[in-house]
Amino acid sequence: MEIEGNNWKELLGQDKEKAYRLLVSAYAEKVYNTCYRLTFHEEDAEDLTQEIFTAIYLSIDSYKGDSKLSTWIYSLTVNKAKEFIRYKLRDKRSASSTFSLDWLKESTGYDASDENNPLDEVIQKERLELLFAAIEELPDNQRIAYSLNKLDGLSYGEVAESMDISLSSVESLLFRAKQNLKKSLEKKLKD
Amino acid sequence: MENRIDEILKSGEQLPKLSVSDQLLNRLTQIPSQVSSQIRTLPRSVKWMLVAGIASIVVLNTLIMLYYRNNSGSSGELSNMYFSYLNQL
Repeated sequence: MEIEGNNWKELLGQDKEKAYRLLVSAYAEKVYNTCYRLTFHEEDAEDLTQEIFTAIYLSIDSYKGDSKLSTWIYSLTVNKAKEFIRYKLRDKRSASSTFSLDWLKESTGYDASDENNPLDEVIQKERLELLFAAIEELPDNQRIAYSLNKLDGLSYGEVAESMDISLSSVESLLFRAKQNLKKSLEKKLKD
Repeated sequence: MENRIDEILKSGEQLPKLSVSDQLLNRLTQIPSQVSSQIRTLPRSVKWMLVAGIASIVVLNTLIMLYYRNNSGSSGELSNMYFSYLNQL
């Protein structure tokens, strides 16, 4: 559900809490999915989602209506995610040690295998563990740009708006992220 | 090796959409009431510090007033000198 910025701004003037609840119903799932793709851990994703919606509620009056509501929310998400990654996730754990394919399957009915072959599942789990561990080693900006574009499916333009950087910077971040991931994966596969 | 790396990179693009649990949705919808109660409720220590601050200002003012009342001669001289030009008007 996409909310029209001007209509929502009007509602905000009339009833702040109702406007906030509308944002929750429209964007909670998107924000939570983005958080999961940035943290690879369900509890961290929930905590980060809560932090983001607290920030949204506290700065709700600062929305001017000059940008799309989704862009405003994504930029708040990116800022909070940067803080979260920098201060809370560093040294806490590695993605490979906490990633749970079982949880992902239970939550979404996700089927990693083509024909319910247990071997496919093991292979897919190993791939995701390697990928998440490699993504965690990326510098923060590369990690966020890569997660938003490749895992969350945002376009280059949307990533640029959310991160408040130019399109060419996004291209450069993604190029360097891919190079670094390849190097890191190559090393991990050799070990 | 190159193929394997590409497969690993592609594996992340197929992650499914997660749905938000009722518990999380509940946490999110309660944020406005939590924020406003946090703003309204001052910690007890802060309240006591405010009371102590106001009390110390009142006591200090009273002490200064008493001091100047007891030593009114010297302060009177000073103010008389300062306002002496008014006598000439």
